[in-house]
Amino acid sequence: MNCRKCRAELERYLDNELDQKGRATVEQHLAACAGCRQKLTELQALDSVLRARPEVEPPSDYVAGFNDRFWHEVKRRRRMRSVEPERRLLPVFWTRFAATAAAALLLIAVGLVGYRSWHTFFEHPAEVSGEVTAPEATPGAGKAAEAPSPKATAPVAAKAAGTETEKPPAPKPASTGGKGGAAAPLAATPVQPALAGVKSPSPGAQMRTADRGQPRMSESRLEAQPAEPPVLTGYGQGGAGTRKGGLKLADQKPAQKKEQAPQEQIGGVVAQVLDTTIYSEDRLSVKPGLVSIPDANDDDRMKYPNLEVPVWVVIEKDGSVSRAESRATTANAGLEHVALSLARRAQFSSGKLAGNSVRVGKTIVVKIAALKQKDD
Amino acid sequence: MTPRTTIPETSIPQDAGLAPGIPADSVPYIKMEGTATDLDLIRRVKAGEHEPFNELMTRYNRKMYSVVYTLVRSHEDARDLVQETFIRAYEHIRQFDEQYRFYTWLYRIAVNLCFTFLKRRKLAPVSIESGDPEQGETELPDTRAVPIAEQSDRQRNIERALALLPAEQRLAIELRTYQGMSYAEISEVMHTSIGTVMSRLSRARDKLRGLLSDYVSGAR
Repeated sequence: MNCRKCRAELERYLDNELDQKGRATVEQHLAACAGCRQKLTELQALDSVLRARPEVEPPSDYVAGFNDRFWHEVKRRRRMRSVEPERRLLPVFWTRFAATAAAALLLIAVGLVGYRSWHTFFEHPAEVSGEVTAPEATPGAGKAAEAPSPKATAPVAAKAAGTETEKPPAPKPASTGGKGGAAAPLAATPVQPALAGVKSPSPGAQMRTADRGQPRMSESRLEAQPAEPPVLTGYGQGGAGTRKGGLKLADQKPAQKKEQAPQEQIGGVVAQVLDTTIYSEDRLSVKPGLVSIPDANDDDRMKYPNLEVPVWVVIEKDGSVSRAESRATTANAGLEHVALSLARRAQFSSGKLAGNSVRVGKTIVVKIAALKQKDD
Repeated sequence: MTPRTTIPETSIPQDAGLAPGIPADSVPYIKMEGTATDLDLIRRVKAGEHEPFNELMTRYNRKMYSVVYTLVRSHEDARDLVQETFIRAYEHIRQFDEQYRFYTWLYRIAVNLCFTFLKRRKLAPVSIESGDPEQGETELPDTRAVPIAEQSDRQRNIERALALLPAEQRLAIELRTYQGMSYAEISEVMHTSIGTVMSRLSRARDKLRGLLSDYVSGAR
């Protein structure tokens, strides 16, 4: 063994990590090498200096009552968890399965609509130009599903923009399974108001894509009550989704929650919370309609039961951004109230609003519904 | 702080991985005669008993505190983090794989919590050599547990030198020198390879030798 090899092994020798043979080899070298002996002496001296440091002593009140405090905290968390059982109702597996299924349906719907648009463009140019033409027979039996409806009198361009006046046949295959939510984003994303007559898609959809179908519900509701002033309907239809923080999806109970949710009127604006999605590393959670720090597995709640967090709303309206800010206390601030208050303050006057979001603190983004102005 | 006491090395099991001179009372997981093993206690907790978990907490409470304090350098935070460690261990005790050692599992929970905590706290970084933001923290040790007047210069300097180490190196030193863990155990706790453990220990010792050169030369 040479000096270089010996020095590489000295710490293992010191730490008793060498086997018998290794120790013997090192000791044999040490006996003949003063330089390596010196090095070993230094290491041993450092070790003895460090070991002379007294053990870290916890504060006097730490050990006494530690177990009591522990059990008290365990019970408290269990109590809190029983108050919010819905947070755990949706297993991650099923959430992922549903999300995958929805994504597949969405792809199919996009493909069909795209194909139909392409087909219409090349085979029915008159429709694209806005002329009203009688539907022609579709070529081939396999395209029967894409055949234009006899009611299809509106320009195709308008359909492409989302202002559909008919229910496009393309999403039909996707909705035959009872979950038509996959088709909703196509219509809802770019332009939202002119969705009259569109039936509400799957209210039970539990992923963001399906949640986007929610405006239709509110819109159909809006259409059904044109004479009444616009009201805020249905909070928290969307679930709290996990992105980074390991949060479990919050359960959604659309029907009941809608009826229980407080209704508020904001001038000429109808707001609906569509999707409360959390992007959090801080393990703060947002229940639909509620900002809170969860009871389980969250040291922040222990430490900061009344943490005041900044809340701000950023609403993109036709490309512009409206912004309002406030602060909410994590312990008791209802997200919906904060959001509504801010939305009111933002004073939206017209236009279609989409992609709104509420940001809480630094790491949480909660997407809420599009705020829509009633067209009257 | 209380001075460490040592017990005769002959009572330390051969496989404990302790270097000669390591205080055995710093190794609470060593099985003593007439006491239930960690595994016995865990099985009872899994069966629904609460009391055995009290025993586990009593065994590891102070050791856990020492490790956590080494990382976060604050008694207040250490107190909260140790409690959180035990809560998580208790809540997930059914997931504990009995082929592993309980204390490394527990230490690993604590270490993960501490690193998450440190990340959040976003301590102002400082490096002994280059100011690398990944390295070390400027925060000086919280000495509220022991009045400063009672600390010797030597003790203060050792604390300060340890505080200047990057958290990973400090943890390696803590687990090896003060907790008496073997390289394999440290690698389990730190979720890294034995080679990385050796490298962290070696770098830490190099730095400490420079920072504590007066005492090291005096001790020779």
